[in-house]
Amino acid sequence: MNVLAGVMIVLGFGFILAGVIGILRLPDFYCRLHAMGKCDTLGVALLIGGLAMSEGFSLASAKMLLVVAFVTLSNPTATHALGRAALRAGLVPWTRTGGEKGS
Amino acid sequence: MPERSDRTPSSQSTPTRSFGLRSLAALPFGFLLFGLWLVLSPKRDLFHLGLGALTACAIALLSGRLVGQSPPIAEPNGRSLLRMPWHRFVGYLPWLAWQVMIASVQVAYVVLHPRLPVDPRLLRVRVRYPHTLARLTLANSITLTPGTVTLDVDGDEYLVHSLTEASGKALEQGTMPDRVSTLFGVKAEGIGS
Repeated sequence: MNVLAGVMIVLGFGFILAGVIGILRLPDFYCRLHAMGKCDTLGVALLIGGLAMSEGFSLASAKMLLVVAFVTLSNPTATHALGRAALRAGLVPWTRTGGEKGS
Repeated sequence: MPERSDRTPSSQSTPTRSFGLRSLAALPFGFLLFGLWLVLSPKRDLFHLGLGALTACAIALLSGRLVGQSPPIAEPNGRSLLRMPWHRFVGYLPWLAWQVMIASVQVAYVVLHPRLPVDPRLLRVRVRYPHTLARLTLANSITLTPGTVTLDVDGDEYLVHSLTEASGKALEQGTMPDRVSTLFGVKAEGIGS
């Protein structure tokens, strides 16, 4: 049980790290949304799920599982809202053929 | 003080009757909210339990209209949120969770790749659903699955940003619209891009 919890926590950290690297490396706002919306959702779910597992069955772990549920619901929603707002504001997505390097 | 405060929830039953049928639909919602209170509040004395029950009742009654009546997004079938085919979500959720795993691994791979093999595209995908909640579910599922984020939905047209060319193709040839169809028991018409 503790081994599984440890694996989950380490994997969660790994995904969050990948998300951060993605935000730094990807070419434009829309691509960064992918890194933020996906890696962070899974990373946080794994990390807090692992913590809940090492805690065992208690009120604290139930709260952690609630946090996981709310993060997995709200993170994709926020990702979509940000992307839509950027699109409405007229931010043109970067493309490989477009030539110019986005910020 | 605690003796009296635990009676306050029962006095709530007077407005309940006047609300009629609508408050009946709010009842399971109220229990759900009270369960949430029990998890979040560690204090088990009468004052705090009474406060929780009172709050749960009040919120359930005030928002009963939203839960019990058919929301505008359920039209034209007009099914209320409580009578949605929730049991089908049990089969859908593990598949979606697996897709989220794949999505994260794929984004992590692209990001950590030394040459950063991204080729972002904007795609327009057309899926016709007679059911607005099905459209909403499809849009959210696209956001969660490998390499694609839904940016906007205009009628039947989904504007999707894909991180790589492969992920865009996977969406166009994928099984997601079919899965959402079986989830809601509706038929998707005219799938294409």
